[in-house]
Amino acid sequence: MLQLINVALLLIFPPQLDLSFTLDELRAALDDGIDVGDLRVRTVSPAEVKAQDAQFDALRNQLAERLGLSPGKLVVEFAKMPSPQEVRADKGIFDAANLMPLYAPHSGRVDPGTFAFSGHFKVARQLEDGNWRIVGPVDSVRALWQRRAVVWLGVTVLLAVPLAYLVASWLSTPIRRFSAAAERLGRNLHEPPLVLEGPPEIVSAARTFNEMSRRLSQYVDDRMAMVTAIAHDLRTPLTRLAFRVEGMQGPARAKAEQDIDEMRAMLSAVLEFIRTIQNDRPRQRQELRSLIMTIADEQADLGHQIVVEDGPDIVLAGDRLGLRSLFTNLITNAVAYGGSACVRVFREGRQAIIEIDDEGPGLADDQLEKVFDPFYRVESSRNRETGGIGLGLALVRSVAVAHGGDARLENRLGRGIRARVALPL
Amino acid sequence: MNGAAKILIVDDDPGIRSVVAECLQGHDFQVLAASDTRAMDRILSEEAVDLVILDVLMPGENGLSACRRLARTHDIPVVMLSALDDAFDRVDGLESGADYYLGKPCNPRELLAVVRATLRRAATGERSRDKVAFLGWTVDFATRELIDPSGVLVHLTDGEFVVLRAFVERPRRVLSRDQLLDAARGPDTESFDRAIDVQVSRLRRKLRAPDSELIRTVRNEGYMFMPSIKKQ
Repeated sequence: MLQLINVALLLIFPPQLDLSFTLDELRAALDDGIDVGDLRVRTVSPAEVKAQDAQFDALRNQLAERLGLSPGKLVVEFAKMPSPQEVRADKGIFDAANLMPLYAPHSGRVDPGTFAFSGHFKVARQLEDGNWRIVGPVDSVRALWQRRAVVWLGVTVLLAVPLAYLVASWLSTPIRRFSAAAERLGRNLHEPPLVLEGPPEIVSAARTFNEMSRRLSQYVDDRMAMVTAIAHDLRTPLTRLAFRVEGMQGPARAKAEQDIDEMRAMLSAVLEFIRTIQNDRPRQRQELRSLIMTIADEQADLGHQIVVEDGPDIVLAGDRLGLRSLFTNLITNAVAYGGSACVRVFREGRQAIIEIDDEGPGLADDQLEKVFDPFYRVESSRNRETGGIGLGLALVRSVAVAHGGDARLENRLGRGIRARVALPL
Repeated sequence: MNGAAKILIVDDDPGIRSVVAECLQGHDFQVLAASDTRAMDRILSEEAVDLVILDVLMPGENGLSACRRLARTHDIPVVMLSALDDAFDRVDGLESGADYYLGKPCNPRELLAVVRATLRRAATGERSRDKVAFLGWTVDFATRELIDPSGVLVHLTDGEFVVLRAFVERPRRVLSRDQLLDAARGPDTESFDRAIDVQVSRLRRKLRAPDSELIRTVRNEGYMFMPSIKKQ
């Protein structure tokens, strides 16, 4: 990436090894004794000034004429023309071709405003006091180049860091989206499809991923629809049975009624689960603590031990029936398996947290996650009198996830289980 | 009154029609049956029916749509009896104007209790689809929704709803504990078995008026609901 920017910079700002100056700039520097642009001025004693190199006599004379000075008071010096054998590192390179216009006899026609000096040159002018004022490009060309290089490097780094960050995130965003989508898909099959953007390979992978997720959710939907249909269809004959049993006499009748109630509870659990996780109900702003209190009071009325700790009201947008099922399941689990429930409702950052602690025997660590699988039941609850059919926690998780939150179980340090639900506010 | 009450069963399942009819007839109700809503309309145009028991999933027009239609055109109490039986379906049913929503399978005792309670309410003019407002709060007894002045849903238990209902039906009058208990008797109040005082104190807390601003305690007599009520 950095290379790319360097190349770009080179193309945009080609190296200006040959600084050029106009005659006017040179004149200004020689007359006023102050730096003009990249021209540097210094004053030296006569001893330090070499005699005029005969090679550049013509140039000196022409320049003196243009500057309106006596040729004797002007010395022009150039770095030695580099031959291939002796490129002097300390002097850098200059292009003698740039000097040629000055040599040329017709240079009198050159406009002094645009006429350019370039390369590594020095022009010395003797002042009134006998000292010499020397004007030349800043330091050496090499130093200049180094200075520029440092500037480029700085600019490059300054540009490159945010650019590299942008490009890196441009490249990695789709990948991160992918991993997040896969994670969400594992929890909620009805996640919206991935957005098709980014590099072509990613777009094509995203398309495949979307197709896979669509098929997966289609497959699950079909099975759900089948289960729903069966559950529904069983209800009508079950109702007839319930009415017919009414006419029966003897102990068989009570047992038959019990069986019917059990079947009815199972069917209800299946249908409630399916209906809740479809989650097409509108969201409604509601107060969470009153919901928890409502469920807790109903459980307390049934004689269960349950405490809700005091705290602030918390309002969030949610599906009221889904949330009610969620917390009813967790609280009834706590009182059924844990003997009691202690509930806390509080705010943590931008989330509402609901913790439900029980005093039961807890679960093996490898069960804490498995219990959220539909139809999974821990061995000790196989007995349906307390066990249900294993849809409660699956419902809990799917409602929480559908609200953009999560639900987990953890073993508490001392004893019992803590159910923790986080819902975004 | 039971003897005279005429009940129309609308269900596409002949087995259900016959067992329900048999059960109701066994308890001295007159029973008519229709297999779809067109037959229901025909019967309603000819007979004075006291109550309709309506299935939801039927060929042709479904029960919810028929229920909405009945609510507009007739003043007949409706009990939905449906295989679609979860909290969501109940809300749909009650929002369509049903007085009561009973899931299949139900047993005969439940059905009888619901039919009797619904008839009793209809006779006293207390239909359950009332919606009232007080002090910025609104409460819809059919869908069981209590909305606070800022538009936020506040959850109530069944028992709290029953008490609130008794209050808003008789505002600014002292209600004794016995009167509140009486009001609480009905098919939909199974869980209502705690002392009235507890229900009232819970209700006060949920209405965020813990003292006697909204519900005043009248010593040795009972409670009085202070705000005035607007029917909606």
